[in-house]
Amino acid sequence: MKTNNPERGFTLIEVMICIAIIAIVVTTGAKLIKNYNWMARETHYSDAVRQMKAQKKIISTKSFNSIPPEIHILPKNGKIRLSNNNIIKDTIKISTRDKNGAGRHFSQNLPVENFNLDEGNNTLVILGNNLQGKEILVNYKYILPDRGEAATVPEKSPYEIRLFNSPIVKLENVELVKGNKFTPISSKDYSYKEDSNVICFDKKYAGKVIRVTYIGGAIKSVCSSEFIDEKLQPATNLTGMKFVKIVENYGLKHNIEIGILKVKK
Amino acid sequence: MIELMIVIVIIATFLGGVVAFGASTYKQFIKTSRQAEMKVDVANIRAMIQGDIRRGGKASVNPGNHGVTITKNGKKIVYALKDGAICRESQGRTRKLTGFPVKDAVWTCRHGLITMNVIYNFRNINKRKLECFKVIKDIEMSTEEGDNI
Repeated sequence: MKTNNPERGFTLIEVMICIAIIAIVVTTGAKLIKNYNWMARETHYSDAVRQMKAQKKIISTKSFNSIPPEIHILPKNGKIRLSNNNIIKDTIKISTRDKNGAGRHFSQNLPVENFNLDEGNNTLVILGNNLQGKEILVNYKYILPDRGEAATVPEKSPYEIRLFNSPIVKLENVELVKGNKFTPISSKDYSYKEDSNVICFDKKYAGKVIRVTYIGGAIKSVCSSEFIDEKLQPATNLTGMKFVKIVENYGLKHNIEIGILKVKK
Repeated sequence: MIELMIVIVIIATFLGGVVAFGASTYKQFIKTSRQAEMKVDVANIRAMIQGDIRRGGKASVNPGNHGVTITKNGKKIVYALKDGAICRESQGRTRKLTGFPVKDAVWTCRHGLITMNVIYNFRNINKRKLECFKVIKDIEMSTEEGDNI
């Protein structure tokens, strides 16, 4: 029924629908904001910057040859020990000079099925024996561990410390700290659960200072490098310069990146 | 009557959502502002230690790793954890440098960097729950001008 009353208001059903829609929108919005946790990620930003600068300092003190790409002469057993830990398997690229193993440029890439990585001890196993005694170039990306965190184990039970860059993906080193002396702790004396941020220690470490170096889930640092020529362009031959790039992922889409020029002395 | 009850229930649901949202936002705001204050405190301590080193002081980590001593012109300046706060001791005077209670403060030295690990204990709006917050800062041991880490 149509009415021509100019003072006609909303019906009860219209008001109810409107309120219900607003309620749904507000509740969903509140939950989304709560789950988004963006504040925590912003906190990680400044820590990612700090970590990156500290890692830059460590890389600048490393020797030229211990930074990938690495040059190796393949031994008879086909095994090569690489200089860095936590290598990302999919990023390994092995190049040879040419089919005969001569020439200046490392332009022949070895197919992926021709090598394996023993991730436990970072040993590369080259299958087949046609490259033995020849020079090969191995390039890869690897994950840099956190700069390390130190804390005092509580005097009372539970004897546990919480880590900052959690959850723990991989523990690198657990050390007892006394002044400037760092003593490794046996893995029997502590326990941790992967994807948690807590390490439990034996009672004998109560009140002692512990330093933990680990790969954390909150901030992930990936290091890659390549040879560059005098025009600062990527080179396939051996030059005296390497360009090292550290990429820090701290949970947001945008990463933090830094480049380091490493020159052979 | 039924219509009125339905409206009241819906309004209550709506207001409940608004109140929950408001409370969550306020709680997060308070937590963030407190954490920001803690970070500023640690950043200031870091700047003070770095300043003492840059002015020619020689830094060494205390034996228990709960402090750092800077020796400058024969005088000692000690930054250490004392009675739940980080204090600066110099020429017989002690100054408290942190506003919130400090649970643990550890200094370690490696690769020419002193790393300062400070763990705070604080209570948010929910006073029953004690929360932890950790701030880590690096201090360069060299006297040269470097990156402001």
